[in-house]
Amino acid sequence: MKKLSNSLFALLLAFLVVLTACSSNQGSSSTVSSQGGKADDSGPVTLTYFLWGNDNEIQMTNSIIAKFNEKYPNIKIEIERSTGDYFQTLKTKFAGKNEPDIFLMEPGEVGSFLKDGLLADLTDYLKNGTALKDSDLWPVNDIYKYDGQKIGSGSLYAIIKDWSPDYMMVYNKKLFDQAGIAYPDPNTPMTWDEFLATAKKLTKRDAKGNIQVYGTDMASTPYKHIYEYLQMTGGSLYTQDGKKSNILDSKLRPAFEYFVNLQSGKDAPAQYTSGTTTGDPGARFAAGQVAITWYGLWAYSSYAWGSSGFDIGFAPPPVMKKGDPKLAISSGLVSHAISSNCVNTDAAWKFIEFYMTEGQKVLAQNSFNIPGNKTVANNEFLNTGSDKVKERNKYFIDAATSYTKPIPVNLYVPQSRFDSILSKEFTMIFEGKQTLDQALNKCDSQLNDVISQNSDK
Amino acid sequence: MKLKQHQRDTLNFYSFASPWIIGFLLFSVIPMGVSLYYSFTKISVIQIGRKNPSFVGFNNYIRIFTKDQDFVASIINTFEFTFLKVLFTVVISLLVALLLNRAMPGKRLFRTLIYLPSIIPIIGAALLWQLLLSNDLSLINYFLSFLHIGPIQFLNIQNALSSVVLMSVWGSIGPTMILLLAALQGVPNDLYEAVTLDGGGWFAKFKCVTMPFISPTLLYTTITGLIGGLQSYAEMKLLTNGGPGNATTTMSMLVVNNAFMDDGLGLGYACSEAWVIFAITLVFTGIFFSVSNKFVYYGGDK
Repeated sequence: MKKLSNSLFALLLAFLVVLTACSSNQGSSSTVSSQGGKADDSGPVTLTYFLWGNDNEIQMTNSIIAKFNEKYPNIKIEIERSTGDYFQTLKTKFAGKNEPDIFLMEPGEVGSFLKDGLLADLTDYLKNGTALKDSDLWPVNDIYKYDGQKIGSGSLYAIIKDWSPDYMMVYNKKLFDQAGIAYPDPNTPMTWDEFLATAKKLTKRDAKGNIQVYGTDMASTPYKHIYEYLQMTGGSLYTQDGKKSNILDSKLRPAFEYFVNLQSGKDAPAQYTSGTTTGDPGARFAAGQVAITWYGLWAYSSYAWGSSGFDIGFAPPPVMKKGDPKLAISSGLVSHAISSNCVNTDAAWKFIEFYMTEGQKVLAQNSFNIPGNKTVANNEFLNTGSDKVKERNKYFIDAATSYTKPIPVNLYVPQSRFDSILSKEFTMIFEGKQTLDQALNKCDSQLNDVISQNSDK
Repeated sequence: MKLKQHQRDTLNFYSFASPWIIGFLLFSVIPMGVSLYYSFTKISVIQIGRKNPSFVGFNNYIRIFTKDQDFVASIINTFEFTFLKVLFTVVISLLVALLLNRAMPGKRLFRTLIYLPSIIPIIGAALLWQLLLSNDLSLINYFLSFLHIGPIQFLNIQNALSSVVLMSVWGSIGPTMILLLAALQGVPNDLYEAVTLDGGGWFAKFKCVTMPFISPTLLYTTITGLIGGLQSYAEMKLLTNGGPGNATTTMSMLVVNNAFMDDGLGLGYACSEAWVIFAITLVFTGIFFSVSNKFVYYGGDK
């Protein structure tokens, strides 16, 4: 009996030793690798790369990595693909000090990463780089600049890998023909009223009144559209310093009315998006269930619209009044960033530099999106593929350079919070539980509350 | 070194219990302590370990009770969901168990069929129910249309919570039914005979024999259902994602949402919300226990 208890006690001790050993082991192994990385620059280095994307996009990334390894065989890139909520996972990785070396960033999420100093400053790398130069980058990269106070100027912390105006009007020509409606002009935008009338005409119902084809569909990013409509009114959602909500300004009201009219009421051309709508909006469009949808160039290859069996047309987003200047916004602006804790920043930069030069040519061949490298965009991208592809690429580059603005960012209101407040209050409008005025008043107080929570130190 | 008998017993006890004790300390006590500390601070997820949390006293708690309408709405949703779920689960399970406790053909088949939903993983179940209920391609509405009924908006603001309850009850009848069935089979037959001899009918049998014998199991299933309901997250997250509006946002869901937001609320605020939920659950379960003691029969002991 005594023997048994002694051995059990020994077992318990051994268990505890193993536990502590495990934790100390992890600590030491990371220091070893960091020393290894610094002592010998050409030694084998492993970088982790966290990203999201569909099979198509991942395949492109893998082929870029394969090419990268031909040039830099000593730098191994381990990709980890996000399966759930990308930014939630990324933040958890940061909280656990287990962050990837290279990862994707979005303008709506970058604020807190910049404020807490979690991203490596890329300005000097770009200045001293040979392959990638500052002149290769689009001006929209300013959205990843930060001077310690505000976003838009200062050092550069991330580099946009590809972009596009994200809410261009994309329409199914076959459904227009069937309804006997003329195609929208590819250069002159419709007005909101014209669009609403057209979309209603395109909405098809069966004998019982159930909708077979929706005139339009806002489902892919229901609340990002508002940023575009608001900019079109000429008003601003926040006061100049961003520290107060301006949502009740009467100048902005037509934008909200348009947004509601598209999705609310008996003859609304779009169904409003709750968390409970099934099916992917890009696939719904490809299946001919939606006449007009809103996407960037990337959607064309991602949803394989080329094989949808109907011709697709593009037009600029409708504007508020006749004669208003064209405007589109880019909300994706997905970029590469390096963690400020990365021990092999030089190697990580080499990868980003390669991705932004040679890698961009792979993107251009696949005509995926407007390449983040301006030079590649203006050469390889414009001169690849069939005439139809070239024409489409040119149309998007023209739209991007002449009238596309980046989505506005407020340092004190994360986009996810803005979306969740709006979705909560506007759903109540769509469900007939409150009026637009009530919703806007509630949004106003909640936005101001978020700002005050976020701006006091 | 010679140990006395009781010392040896103590040592044995702790050795055998140590895996659990260590796990409990590492994964429950320490995280709870940390979360209690964070609940008095202002910190976001990515700041953990990089920035010292700034101490804000009871500000988070004060905010919960004075400013946060979402939290109040989520408490109401959670209690409504829990009440409906436990009620329907226990009542339906009891009825089914009573039916299956009789000698009847195909008993095993029915038992299997009724248990089957609970072995489907929640993700699969939610996808299935989405197809059945969703606004744009509801299969139920498709079949109802042949009867000239509907279409019913199962997931609109009025019906969404009931739909989640429906899905949840569907998934939890199986295990509850098995437990109650086991309890029913432990009821001694001679007592039923005694009731028959005294001239009692089926209701007297149920009230005076069956209920007292299965009351501990009923209490157990109710309490576990209650705790599970108050913590519910996955069902709503997968079926409705808390919407429309916040019609199906539960307390735990709100905590998770707030924890990963980057605004000033962030993780510290989410921790204080979690502690309020903990207190509510504790009080509620305590009340339930003390009240239920009056109704539960423990084989003659008081």
